[in-house]
Amino acid sequence: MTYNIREATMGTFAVGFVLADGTSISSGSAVPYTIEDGTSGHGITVSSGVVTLPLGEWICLFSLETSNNSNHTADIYVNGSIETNFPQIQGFNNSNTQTDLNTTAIPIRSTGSTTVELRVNTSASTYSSASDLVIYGVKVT
Amino acid sequence: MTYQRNTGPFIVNKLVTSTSFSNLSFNTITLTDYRTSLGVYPGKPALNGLAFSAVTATSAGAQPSIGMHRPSSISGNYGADLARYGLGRGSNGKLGVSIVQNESPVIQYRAGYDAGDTYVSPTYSVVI
Repeated sequence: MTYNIREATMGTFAVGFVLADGTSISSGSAVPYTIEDGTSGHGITVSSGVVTLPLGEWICLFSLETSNNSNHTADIYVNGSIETNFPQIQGFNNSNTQTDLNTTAIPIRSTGSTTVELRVNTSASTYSSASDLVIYGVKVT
Repeated sequence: MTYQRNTGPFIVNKLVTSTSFSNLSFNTITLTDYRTSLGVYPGKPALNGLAFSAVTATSAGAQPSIGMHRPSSISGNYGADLARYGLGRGSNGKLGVSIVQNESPVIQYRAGYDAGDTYVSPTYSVVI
């Protein structure tokens, strides 16, 4: 299958986000990923874990590991609404110290102000700094 | 083959119906729900690009299940996704990686120790 974006392409970007060890995550709130230092020009912004995507075609790849001693789940939200068509992260308690490092992904065509975030359904804190978010895509004008 | 950067659409396809296998041989998990940023992709598209897969499984025994993703037409190019030990729901922690070339991605699964592990809906594949 081939597919071409008809708009003028500004470039492809791969943007990394990080999440520090011991970061608190509140139930129902966005996981507070932050953009890795040293990336620029992509136009992606983030505020308290809510990522705003510039006009373009993007794929967002989330991973999350917590120190919660019980199972937890996390869902993708687009423009503040839950998106259930894509995989839910199901973090399962692993040896009573951490959950498994789990992942999910969603493709998004942004209008220029489209937001995306990952929200957990149980309060937790990160077990390590292994959790991340990678956004890859094409920014257009 | 050469890999050219993909400008989309990017595809996420996932397992809709939980599935299990009764043997320890290689089995294929069929992913049926192909979605782009514009909605469901009709049919079963042939895709080109870099593929990732993640597996979530309920283990039937005390050993981990092992899920692997590889394209059906290229042998040997895949990464393993090792789920957690023990009974209960397994992880999709690590990503399998491969290159798909004019084909629909599937997840090829092999149980390492226990037959009957059940693969559930968070199992998915990404093609970029």
